[in-house]
Amino acid sequence: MKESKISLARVSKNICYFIAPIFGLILIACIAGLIIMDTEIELENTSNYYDTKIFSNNYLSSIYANTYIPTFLKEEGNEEQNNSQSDMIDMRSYGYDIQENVQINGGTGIIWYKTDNNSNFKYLMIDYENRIAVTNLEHTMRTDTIDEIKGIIAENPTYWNFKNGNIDTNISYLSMEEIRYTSQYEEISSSNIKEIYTSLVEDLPYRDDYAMSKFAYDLSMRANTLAPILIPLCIATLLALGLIILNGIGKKGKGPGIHLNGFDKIPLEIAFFIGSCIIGFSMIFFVALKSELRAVIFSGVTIGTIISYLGAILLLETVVKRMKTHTLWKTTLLYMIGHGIKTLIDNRKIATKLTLAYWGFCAVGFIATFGIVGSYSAGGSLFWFVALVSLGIATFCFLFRKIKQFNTIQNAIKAIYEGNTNIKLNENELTGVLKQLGIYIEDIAGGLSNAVNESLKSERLKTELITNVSHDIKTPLTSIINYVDLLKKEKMPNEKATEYLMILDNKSQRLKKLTEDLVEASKASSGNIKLKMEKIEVKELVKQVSGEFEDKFKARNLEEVMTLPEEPIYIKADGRYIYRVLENLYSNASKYALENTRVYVDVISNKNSVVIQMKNISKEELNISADELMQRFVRGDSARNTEGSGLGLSIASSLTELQGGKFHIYLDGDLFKVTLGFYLLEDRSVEN
Amino acid sequence: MYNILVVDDDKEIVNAIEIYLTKEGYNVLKAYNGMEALKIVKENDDIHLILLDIMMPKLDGISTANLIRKDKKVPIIMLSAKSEDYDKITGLNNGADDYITKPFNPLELIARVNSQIRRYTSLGSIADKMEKGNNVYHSGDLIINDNTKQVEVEGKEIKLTPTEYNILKFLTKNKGIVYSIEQIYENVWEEESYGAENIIAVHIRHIREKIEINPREPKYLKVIWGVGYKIENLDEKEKSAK
Repeated sequence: MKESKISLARVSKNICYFIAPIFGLILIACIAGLIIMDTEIELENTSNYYDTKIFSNNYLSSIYANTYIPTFLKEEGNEEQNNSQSDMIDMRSYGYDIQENVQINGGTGIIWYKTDNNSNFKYLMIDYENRIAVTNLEHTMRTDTIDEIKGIIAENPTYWNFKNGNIDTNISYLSMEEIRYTSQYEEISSSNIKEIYTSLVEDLPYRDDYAMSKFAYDLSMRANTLAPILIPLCIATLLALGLIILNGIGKKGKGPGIHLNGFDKIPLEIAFFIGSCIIGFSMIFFVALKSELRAVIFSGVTIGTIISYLGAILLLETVVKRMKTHTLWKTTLLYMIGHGIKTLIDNRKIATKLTLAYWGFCAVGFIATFGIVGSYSAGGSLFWFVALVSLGIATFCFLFRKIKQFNTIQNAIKAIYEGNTNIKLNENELTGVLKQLGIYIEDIAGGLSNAVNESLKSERLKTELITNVSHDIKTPLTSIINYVDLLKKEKMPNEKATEYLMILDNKSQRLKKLTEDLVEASKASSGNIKLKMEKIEVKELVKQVSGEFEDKFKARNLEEVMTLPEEPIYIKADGRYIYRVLENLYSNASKYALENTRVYVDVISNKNSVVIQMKNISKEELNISADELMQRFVRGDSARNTEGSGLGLSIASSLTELQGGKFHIYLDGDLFKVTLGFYLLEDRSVEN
Repeated sequence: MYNILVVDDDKEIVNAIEIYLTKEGYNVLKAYNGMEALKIVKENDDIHLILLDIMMPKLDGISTANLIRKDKKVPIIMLSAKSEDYDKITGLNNGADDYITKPFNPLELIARVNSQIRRYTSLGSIADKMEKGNNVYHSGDLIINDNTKQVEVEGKEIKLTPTEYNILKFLTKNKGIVYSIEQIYENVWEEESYGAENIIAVHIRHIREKIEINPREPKYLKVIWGVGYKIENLDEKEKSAK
């Protein structure tokens, strides 16, 4: 069912191709009729062609035109009479037939037959004086005498005769009253011709001006009456047919799609060239118009028309199909060449493009400048000036647009740099290379955003994991510590047992410290800590921490040398965590500093920052780098015999940075130096 | 003899605690999850203290504490491997009187148990001692009698050096107020500070070690890092809690 419906569209389209020309011809005829009527024919009351002015004017012109001939022939005749026989033959060769010894005006005269005349207008002109008659009737047995000729001419219904200065006619506009004062009549009446017999062959069998004129007139008259109905009817029908044709084009068999054939895929210009060739070829057949034979003319014109019509259909179909598939523009050679050039340029590097654009600009500018100076006329100079200014404006607009786009991209990059990876560029605002760049940047931002999220997520998961694991470790550890402690209170069988127990005690305590530090390190490094920032006085803090470690330093005979500035120093930090940082540093010093040495603690106040600096001599050889030392689980002594988790410096560094400080370690031989840098509280003067 | 209920799903830990507490002279009841604990609490009216683990099967420590608190005033000490501040706050807000993190120091555990028992069994003793005279300063269970120069924390007498005593007296007299090292020096020594360095800090640490059960997490003498020191005003807290 569906299939038949689709093929219906195709079939009806083809039927329409047949019907359309008929209505087209009718329409053309109607319009032509109206045009002819408007331009050529004055509207008259009569519907009879022979009663029209235009006919009578033509008729008069025909009479007038032929009145010369007898005069001319008479002179020729005179010459012929006086001169040789050969001239007579020559006259015959001009297309005239002669009948001699004819009775004219009571004497012998000559009748000239003008044989090359295909006119519907038949005439007989008689010159009594020279006894010469001229007619355009054929020289036959029936036209040997003047009377016979007269008789034949008189057979036709429309006539105009001139005899003895009187006009006898049935053409109303050519009566004596009507034409008496015309120049033509004067010419006619003042000539040698005394009698003129003219008539128009009935039904105008010859294709002459009269036939054409009558045809046009009849057509116009008919058009005039039918046009109001026919023209709208034809237009409506043609529109309907056109719609059916447009709908049917490209449909074929099953499916709603448009079917393209090979011809629809070749470039449009070439298709047009082929179409033009077909139509041009069809024009050859119109040469038949020159033929005398109606059959030849008719067949020639018909074939030519059909071929050109088919050519036109071919072009129409391909254009419509291309439009339907939106490939009209894309299949043009112009587009293909343009696209090719564009691809060629697009694939070049931006520098090459810029260079090309620059030289193009220079060339056009140079030509324009040269044009202004070199033009011969003011108009030419003006043209080139306008061209140059336009070039400038166009270039400015182009650059302005590009710079705007560049700014958009720059802002996006800045946003990414500042950490906002959630950017959205309006790609429609960007063009060319910058559009590509914009897309890349968006992708990078998206990737970064994902990476940051992923890394945050994984850090959080890690912290959670470590926290959970440490919980699980702590429970059995509690038992170990408690039973070791209980065992210590029992009586040991020997010295060795006591020694082993001490080791167990020591290691279980270290394990405890390690689990605690592990959680803290993981939280600090992932930033999973809520800070409560307060105003902190650095000198007070250092003194407090120093007090906490006084015993431990004393135990290893370490002397602390503290250098503090006079004025109070305020920073913004979380008291608990900055204590943890200093605690770790002091704890490190108490553990790893060489016995009997000094530990230097300096608070150095700068313009807008403060540095807390701690220096000590390491007990062990520091054979690793400062960076390594800050990593988790790395300790100054590779043997790992001493207590500590190896997380201290890592935690201190992470916590310092979380609080907006800078943490640095310097190693110089056995000198271990660590600095904490903090910005001073800005409203310090106000606070004081 | 005081009865103490120890609740933990780890039997070894319960046994170890039992050994310590029995040595201290307490009678120990044992439960291995929240349900058992509730049952024992219901059956025995004369329990004086509960040591409660948080992460337990069937019924966790927080819920157990909540249920016990509905009709019992017995002190509860939470015992947990969860050591975050958040966990401690949750525990203390849900009926616990103290919070000990695992792995714990047995001595600290006993000290805290003793403290809670003392507080539970001899309520109102502060008020009695305060009536002795005007020269008595206190915060919570920290009492300084300036007449006898005696310092008592949770019923235990503490021995301090004269300097330590003076510093503690000054801070307790002005409890709740934070004093910097310089200010403490000027007030105690009654002379201009010349950059006392860390002497005060050392004294403070010594005092803390003497009066606190766990000096690292002091209850009375608090360190405000980078600012100074203060004696926590525990009476004010109790009042507002009521």
